[in-house]
Amino acid sequence: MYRILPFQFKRSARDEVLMVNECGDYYFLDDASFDLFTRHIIDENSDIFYDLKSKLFLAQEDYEISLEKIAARYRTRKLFLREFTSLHMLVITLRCNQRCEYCQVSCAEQDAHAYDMNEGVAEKIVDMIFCAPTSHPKIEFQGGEPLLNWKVIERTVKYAKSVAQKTNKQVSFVICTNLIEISKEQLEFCQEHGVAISTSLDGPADIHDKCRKARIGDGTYRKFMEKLGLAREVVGYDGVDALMTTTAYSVERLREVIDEYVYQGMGGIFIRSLNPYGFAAEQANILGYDMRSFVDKYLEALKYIIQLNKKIFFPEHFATLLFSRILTPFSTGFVDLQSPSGCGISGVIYDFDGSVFPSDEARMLARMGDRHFFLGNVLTDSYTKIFAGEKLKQLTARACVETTPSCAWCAYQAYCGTDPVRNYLETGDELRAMRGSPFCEKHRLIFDGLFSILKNATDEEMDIIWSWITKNPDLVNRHESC
Amino acid sequence: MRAVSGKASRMFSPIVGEVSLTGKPFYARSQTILVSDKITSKSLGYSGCITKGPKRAFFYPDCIYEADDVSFLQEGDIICLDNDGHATILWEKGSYQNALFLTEACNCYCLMCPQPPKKHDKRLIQQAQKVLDLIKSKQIGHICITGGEPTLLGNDFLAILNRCVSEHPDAIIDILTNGKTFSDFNFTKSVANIANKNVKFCVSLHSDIDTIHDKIVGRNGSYSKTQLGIYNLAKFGCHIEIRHVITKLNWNRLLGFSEHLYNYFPFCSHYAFMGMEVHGEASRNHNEITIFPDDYRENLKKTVIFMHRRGLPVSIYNIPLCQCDEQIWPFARQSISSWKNFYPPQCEQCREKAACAGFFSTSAFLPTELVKPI
Repeated sequence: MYRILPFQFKRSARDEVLMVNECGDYYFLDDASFDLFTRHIIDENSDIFYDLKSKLFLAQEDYEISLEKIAARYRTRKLFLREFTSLHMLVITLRCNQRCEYCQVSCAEQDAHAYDMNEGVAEKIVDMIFCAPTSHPKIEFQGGEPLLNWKVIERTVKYAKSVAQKTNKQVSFVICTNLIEISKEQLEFCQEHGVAISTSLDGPADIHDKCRKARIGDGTYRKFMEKLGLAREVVGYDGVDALMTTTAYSVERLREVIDEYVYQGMGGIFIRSLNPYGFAAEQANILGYDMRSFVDKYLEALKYIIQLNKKIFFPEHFATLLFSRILTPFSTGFVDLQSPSGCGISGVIYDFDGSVFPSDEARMLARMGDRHFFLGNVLTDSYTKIFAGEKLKQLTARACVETTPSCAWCAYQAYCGTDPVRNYLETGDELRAMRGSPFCEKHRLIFDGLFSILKNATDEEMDIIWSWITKNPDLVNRHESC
Repeated sequence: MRAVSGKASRMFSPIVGEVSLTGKPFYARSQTILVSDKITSKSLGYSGCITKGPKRAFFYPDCIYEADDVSFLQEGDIICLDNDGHATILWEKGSYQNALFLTEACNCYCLMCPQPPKKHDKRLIQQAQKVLDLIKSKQIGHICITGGEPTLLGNDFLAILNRCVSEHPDAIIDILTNGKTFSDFNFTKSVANIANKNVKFCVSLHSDIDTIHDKIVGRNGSYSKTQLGIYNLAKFGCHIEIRHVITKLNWNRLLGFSEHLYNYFPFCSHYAFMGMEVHGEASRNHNEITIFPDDYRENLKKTVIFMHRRGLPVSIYNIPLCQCDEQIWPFARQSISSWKNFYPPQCEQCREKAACAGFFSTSAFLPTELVKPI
């Protein structure tokens, strides 16, 4: 006799069951064997029985140590919780020199100085950041276009470094900028203080220019390329990273976007879908697409990238994250997709006026007129009130896939996450039945696709996937240099 | 261990001392064993002697006489003279493979054990202490603590480990264990308090399936205790190496075993997959357990690639290069102790011989017909 240990499962079309145990180990089993297994009558000397035991779907005399192992791996997977709160985003200004079609922030006019963060607020924020238990806080400067309020960035970096030294913590910095108005002096400051640059590139010129427009005038591709060159001259290729946003203009042309990234010498790509906030929400009928068609195109693009990797090392970052969750026992921090959700406990955002929100989206919602997720203000509230207050506690408790209807019995539960802010936006409640939501649709279909890739992958393709996970390009024998 | 055979001069207690071939001044002889052609007045004052020549009168030191072959003894080796006429090397000078052999007792009875367990003999502890006395002020790179199951000795084990760590703080110390004793959290705590960062716990784990592991080690419940022991060691941040001996009982689950390691024991600092020495129990259970590397070539390749892809440090021990796939040669080590390392005549034509582990000369069955010079 044997005992069945907790697991989730999903029947696929081809008489096959995907099983995932409580801590993320998975196994494919044919329908007939699954039936025998669940009725406790599977042959106890068969290979399948041994596999199920090895992967902790069942136990006999080894029941106690099996639970120990599941617990150990469960703890390991949730290790990101110990880094409370690691990502701190600062809205340096809401002003922007661009007016992108899909802007989630609903940025302000270039001369609307009332939307600038002042140095006093910035210092208060830094003080609060260093109250967080994490030993590796990351400070991300956002906007608007943060460069428009440069002196506050300079001041914040220097002040944060001095506090880091006093508190014996390792602080890192990122500026999210469109690069358009970056100067050599600013780049040299980034180089000197180790500030990473994260920028946006949507694809080749016509795709990029379709959405990323200057406030007065046309597309920004040409100017962007010029500044990208300058930035790389000063901070090096590794110092600049780019993100893309998929719109209706590019969803059918992801291959061209990828080729552009390769051509521009980017180290990889993160194919991101559109967020339904700000201008993007207003223009959803023009820019948007349904999740199923996004995922179809995403998976197509992913297969193209895998083929590309036979020649060069070029990871797709979202797939890398999800493959890590499926294939490794380790913890992967990703604020937008974890359980409990990363809102406030992994990432937090400080608005220009010192208001604190659990996520960028929660702040955008406030900008759209609903301050439901407002946690407090650094000028008036203590760290304890904001981060250990009832509001964040409630939010976190209601943002666990383990206790969310339909997630709780989903085969992908161990790898997925939830977004209470998005849920609230769509239904008026942080906790909802996820099945049928665009968020669920997107991730469920991507997981379906990734498992199918894993099932059919050749040795070489597995080497490629592992080279992404372990960041080890040497795992793959490239056929030709590019 | 390599030994000299001869006759004992009388029923003396075991004598542990350092070999001298050239002789020492009188004041330095009390811890020294003189090796000479014959016993003369120059042999006086030594703690013992070994000679190819005849026995002498009672006032000469205790000795092994009419010894067969003393050519492999080197100045500075530490040996033990026994009254059964044998002199055994306990510590070979300049070797990287020296071990403190603490006990023959064990709480497992492995089917492939090259040296089946016996009742514990306290003299082995005294012998180890004596070896530690003799190497105390010397530069030692590596110490292996082994048995039997050395951790069964409790406080005696702690005392020996403590001496190794404090007297040789820079030495790499490997403890060969089945890990069961570490299922006791408090014992693990006291060991971890002594161990420094150079101490590595080499734990034998032979399957991902409890019943298979327990069958191999001959004691039910071992699998759970060993794995709990590994977790306890990990809780204290100890360095752990997993040692997996490949036999007929577990070879077909090599890949499942490594998946299990990666999923539930990814924190170990090294993973070793080992060919078997067909000696002792292993030779008696030959039919049940012996499998030759050539038979699991494909499984081993997949396993090593599996581990390497995931960035786990993996090694292959005791498997000749011609018996494993070329793709995994970079992971194969020359792991067999020099004194029992053997290369069949065909190996002379092989261009990889210098990099190859070769065979155990002690193995009762050698698949020499499978040797394919490269």
